[in-house]
Amino acid sequence: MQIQKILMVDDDPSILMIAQISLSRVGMWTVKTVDAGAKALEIVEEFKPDLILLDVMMPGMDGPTTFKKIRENPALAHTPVIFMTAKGQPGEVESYCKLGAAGVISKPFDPMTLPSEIREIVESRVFDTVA
Amino acid sequence: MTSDLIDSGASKEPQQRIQGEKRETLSLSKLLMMTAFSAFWLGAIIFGYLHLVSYESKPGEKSAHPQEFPMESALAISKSTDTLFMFIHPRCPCTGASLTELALLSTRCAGKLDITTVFLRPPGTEAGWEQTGHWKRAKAIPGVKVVSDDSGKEAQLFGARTSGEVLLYNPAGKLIFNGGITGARGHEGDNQGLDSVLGIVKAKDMRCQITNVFGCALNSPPEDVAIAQGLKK
Amino acid sequence: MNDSLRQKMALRAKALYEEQSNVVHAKTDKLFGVLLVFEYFAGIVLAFLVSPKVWAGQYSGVHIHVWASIILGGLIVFWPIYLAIRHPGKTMTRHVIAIAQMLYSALLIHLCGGRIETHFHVFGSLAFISFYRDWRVLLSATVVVAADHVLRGYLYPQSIYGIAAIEPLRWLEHSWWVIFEDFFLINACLENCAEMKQNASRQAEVEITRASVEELVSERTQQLQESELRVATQLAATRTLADAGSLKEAAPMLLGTISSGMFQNVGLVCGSMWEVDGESGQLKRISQVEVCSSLGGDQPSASNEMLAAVTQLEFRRLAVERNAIVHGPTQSSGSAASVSGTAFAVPIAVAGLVSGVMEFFIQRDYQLNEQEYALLESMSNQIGQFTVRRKIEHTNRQLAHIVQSSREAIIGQTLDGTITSWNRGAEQLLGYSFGDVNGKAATMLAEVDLVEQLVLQVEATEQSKEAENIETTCLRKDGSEVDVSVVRFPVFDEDNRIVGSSVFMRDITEKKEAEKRVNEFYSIVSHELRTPLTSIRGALGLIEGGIITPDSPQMMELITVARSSSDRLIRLINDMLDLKKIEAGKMDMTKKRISVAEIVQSTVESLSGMAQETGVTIRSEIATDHSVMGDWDKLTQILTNLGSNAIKFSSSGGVVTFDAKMQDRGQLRFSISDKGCGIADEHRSMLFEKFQQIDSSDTRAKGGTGLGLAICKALATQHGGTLGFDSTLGEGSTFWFEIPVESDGVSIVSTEPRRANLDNSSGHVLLVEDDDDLAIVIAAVIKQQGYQFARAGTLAEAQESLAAMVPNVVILDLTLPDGSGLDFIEHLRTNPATVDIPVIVSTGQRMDEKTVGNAAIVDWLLKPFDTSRLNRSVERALRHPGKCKVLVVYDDSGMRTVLSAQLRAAGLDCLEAKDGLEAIYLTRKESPDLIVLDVQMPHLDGFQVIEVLKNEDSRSTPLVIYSGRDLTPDERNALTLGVTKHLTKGQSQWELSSAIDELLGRIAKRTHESASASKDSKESEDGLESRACETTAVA
Repeated sequence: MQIQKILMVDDDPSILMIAQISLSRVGMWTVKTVDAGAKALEIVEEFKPDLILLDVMMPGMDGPTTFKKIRENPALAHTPVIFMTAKGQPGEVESYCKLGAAGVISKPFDPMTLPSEIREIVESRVFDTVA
Repeated sequence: MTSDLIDSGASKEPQQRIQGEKRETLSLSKLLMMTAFSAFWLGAIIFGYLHLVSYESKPGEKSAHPQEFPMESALAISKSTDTLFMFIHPRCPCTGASLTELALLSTRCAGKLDITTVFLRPPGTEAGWEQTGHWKRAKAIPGVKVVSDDSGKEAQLFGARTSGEVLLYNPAGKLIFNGGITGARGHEGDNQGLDSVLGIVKAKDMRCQITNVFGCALNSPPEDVAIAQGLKK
Repeated sequence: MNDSLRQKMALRAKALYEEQSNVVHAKTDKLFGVLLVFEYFAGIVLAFLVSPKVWAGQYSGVHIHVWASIILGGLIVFWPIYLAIRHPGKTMTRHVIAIAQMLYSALLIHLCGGRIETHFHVFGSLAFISFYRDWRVLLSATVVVAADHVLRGYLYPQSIYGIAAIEPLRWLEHSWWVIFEDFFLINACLENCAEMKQNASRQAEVEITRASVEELVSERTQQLQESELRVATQLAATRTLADAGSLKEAAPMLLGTISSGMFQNVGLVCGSMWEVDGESGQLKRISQVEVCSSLGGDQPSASNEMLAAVTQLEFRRLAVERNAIVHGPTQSSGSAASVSGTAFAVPIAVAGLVSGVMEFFIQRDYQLNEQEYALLESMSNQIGQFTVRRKIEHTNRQLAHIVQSSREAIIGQTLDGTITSWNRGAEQLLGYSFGDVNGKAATMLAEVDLVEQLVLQVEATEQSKEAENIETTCLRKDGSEVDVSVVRFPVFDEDNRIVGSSVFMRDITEKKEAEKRVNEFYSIVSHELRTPLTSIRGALGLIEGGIITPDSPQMMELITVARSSSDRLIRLINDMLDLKKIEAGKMDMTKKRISVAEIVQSTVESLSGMAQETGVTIRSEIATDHSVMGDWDKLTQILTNLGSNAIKFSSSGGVVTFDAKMQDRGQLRFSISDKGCGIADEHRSMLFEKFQQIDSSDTRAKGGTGLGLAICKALATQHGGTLGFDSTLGEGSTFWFEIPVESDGVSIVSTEPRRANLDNSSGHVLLVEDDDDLAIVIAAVIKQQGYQFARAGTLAEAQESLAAMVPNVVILDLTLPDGSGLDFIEHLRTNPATVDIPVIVSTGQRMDEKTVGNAAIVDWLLKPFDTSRLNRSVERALRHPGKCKVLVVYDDSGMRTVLSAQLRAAGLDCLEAKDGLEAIYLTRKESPDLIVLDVQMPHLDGFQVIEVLKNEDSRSTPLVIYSGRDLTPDERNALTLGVTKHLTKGQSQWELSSAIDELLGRIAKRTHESASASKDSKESEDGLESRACETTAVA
């Protein structure tokens, strides 16, 4: 599936900036960044991203809660979501995947390779669903 | 006495008292006393008895009897059979026995013997004095003649002294038996006399021709003797 | 049995038979009696009828028959009639009767003239005679008849039959009929007799049988009664034992039951129960009972006698030894009347082990029959088993209690998982009561599969592995889940087969929560560390990757991001490490005296920039010149942190106020207030948690680490203070922390109670101390006690102070900037005005006896010292001389008395102790100002006394140690409380008293000094010359 628009949600502005540069300059995608889950919900319908990158630990609405809320919207039911986490907890990846995430990327990430990682996750997910 | 001896043995056992029976125990002394008394008693009885028996066994006065039938007698002898004369004191109780024997005799010697009973009427007695029970009884005996003897003339003639005396004459007029036909005074039963008479009459058995007579005296004793004997008229 | 029975029957039969015979005889006798009477009169009548008169011709007289009938007849009948009346039934009677009857028969024959019919009388008489059933009587009768004939035959043969030839036949014929009749009659008699005998024997049999049956019945009834009684006794005993908890409890009932059940109608029975004491093995009486079971009439004797009699040690001992019932006659050795009777001792044993004895005493001879013996044995057995059972039950109960009261849940299950036991721990953990779960499957607790687990456990056990804990969740009664750790052990029966399992469950919720918290913390820390790293890596990655070129405007941005993220990381790491250090108490803290105003001012200055930026005004209202002991940097950190928070959470135009106030308990409270948004109640608890931030976005941006408050709190705690806040949502918050004013931990001022009983206002204390801090502390202490205080920092100042006012006590630091304190002491001594002033030395050096030598030093305080000791020393120093108390501790009473007398003469209160124990007791009670202590003492020696006292209030008491030998330096150190002088007994008396003088600070009255000195010297000359000699010899 072709990704054109990505929505990035993270509370840390530095990370948002770096990710923005990485995804737009390296991944060549249209990127929109928001620093809170609530804000993300506001613009997601309008923006209609092909992929959502969701930070896990955020004050206010955290990643999983935001994810659930996104999924409540039928229009966004199939939008792939990738979680970004710095927690390093065992079993985290599994639980997010069970939730319905397309994949999990752990921080710190290499901004040069971030786009390819994302592509990998999305494509493998496509295969899964096709299979 | 023998019985006493047996008794004493038994009675000397102590009486056993079981379950409330009341039996006195005779003490030995009492027992002996009683035994002794019994013995004495028995002796007295025997004595008395013997006395009685001796009286009964006392024969009547003996006297001579005419060997040939006296012609003077009013009585008659039979020509065909022996004739028997019994002299009876009409009131003598003992003679009942004789009469019984006589009845026997009469029965046994029926036809072979002519029997006449002579009832004495002692002098001084009224007429009919001799017609007592004996008279009637004698009369009742079949084949027995009953004759009354006034004042005892016949008795005297024949020498009969005791009531119940029997004189047996053969048809020839010979005296073949004289005596009594009772065993003891007033005592019926088998006796020598009867047997003898029966023997003589029936079988001409002359072995015994004289027996004792047991009965009352036919003649009155003299007055003083009578009084001495306690007799009265 | 049968033979005797037969004998009895035979006897009885005989008796009955005789009785019966007797009755028959008697009846027949009476019958004959009547008959004979009748016959007599009949005879007379007959005689009169048949032959009343005897005739002779015409003369008649009374017939002999008449006389015969009357006389002879009478003779014949009177005797038998008499006998019949008086002695009916007797043998003699009937024989006489028989004889008489036959005689009369003969007479009648004669009276009737031998009529055949009269002979019938003979036969009839014989027949009548047979009524006697006695054949002998018949014989008698027959004999009479025969005799009659024979006699008459002999005497009067004619009267019978005359000639012999025919007669024998006739006689035979006659007698034949008699014999014939006799034969039959005798036969009948015999048969009758036999019948009677049979009847008698049958009746006897019946009687005897009945009697024997009755006897048997009554015997059996009695046996039955006895056995009923025994059964009843046993039943009662069983019931008693079932209800009772211990033998002691059951004993009275048991003894009573057995006594009244077994020994009936024997009067007073005394029973007692003895138990073998577990420890000593001796028999101990645990119960005594008296039962009176008499049927009235018997007066029970005094029970004292009984009690004395019952103490049959021998019987008991034997019973225990042989484990058998011992009984026999016994006599008591009572005080008044001696009591004799029978005693029984019944051992109580189980499996051969004797655990007690039951004893009975009966006041008469008594033999135990078989059944009673058996009963006692069975009782003994029963009781023995009872005691064992109770012991087992007790043990089981204890075990059950242990299980039941255990906090851990212990659940018993069968192999198929049915719950069989449930303890309190289980109830508390899971909420079910035993009734709820009993018999139900354990799966209701939502446990892991049981059987499999059990099998695994069993295998593990078999291989000697340890049972493993399994962590799982269980369902509570209210439906909630609880995390538990489960261990399962198999339960074996006697044959070593597995019959079930016992499950131990522990609530691991807390552990899980802790784990969770740890996980959370880890993830937070991980997050906090990785997040800046992400920025660093990302930024550098982009630059390296050439996405951002040096000429791009974003280049600097990225570099800045990288650097600031690095800084953030550094700060975070530092903070985390600091926090750990502070919490571990390993943070270096240099505590100094800090002026409150200064520190607040400096903080405010440093925050001014931040405040300006946000438009917040800082106000500081520190009006005091208080100071606190603390670390400048750390306190600044707290103030800065709290201050910056206050500024952050204040809106523009807001005011942040700094304040510092003294609190009651010697603490100073710093407070920073703001009028910001306040903190909601629900956030209170998590505020001080690490990394928790109410609103993290801002603080994060401002470089906050989230550990700030946690660090502040830790720092405050390390200062011995506290940190807290008050806040109202929407109005503002005030954060405060309190630090104790003085040095760490000890808040001297508060713990020291005032000594009310001292008149302290007159107490003037001069402190010569160069260390200001210490001076302050001491000053506080002194002032608190109400003394007047003056301080000198140098010797010179001290001199000045002296000149100004003479103090009562001097507290002297030895190391002074301008000289040694010892010099000062010298100075004091030389000046007559100050010679008496007691000195308390405070120094870092150990006390040196030589230097102490001549100084009137009250106490030697080693720095650091505790202030209570200081107080006491001051007190002591200020004490009125007359009230000085000296404790003399000596085991030698002579020496003690002498010394005490001396001291009293010197005007001192003197207490005496003769050994260490007394010394300690008196020291505690009286708090003497000085102790003279002998070292070698019974019970507690000098060393031990010091050992005890040096941990108590009296630890600063001056001592004079009086030892019998020279002490090593270690020993001297050990034998030290306050200022101590060590003397040997070799030293003279004078030296001792002078030492005492010195140690009491020359408080002894001067007037007596000379007197005591002269006295001393005199004594030393008189009584102690030998000592002096000794000294020299030793020296």
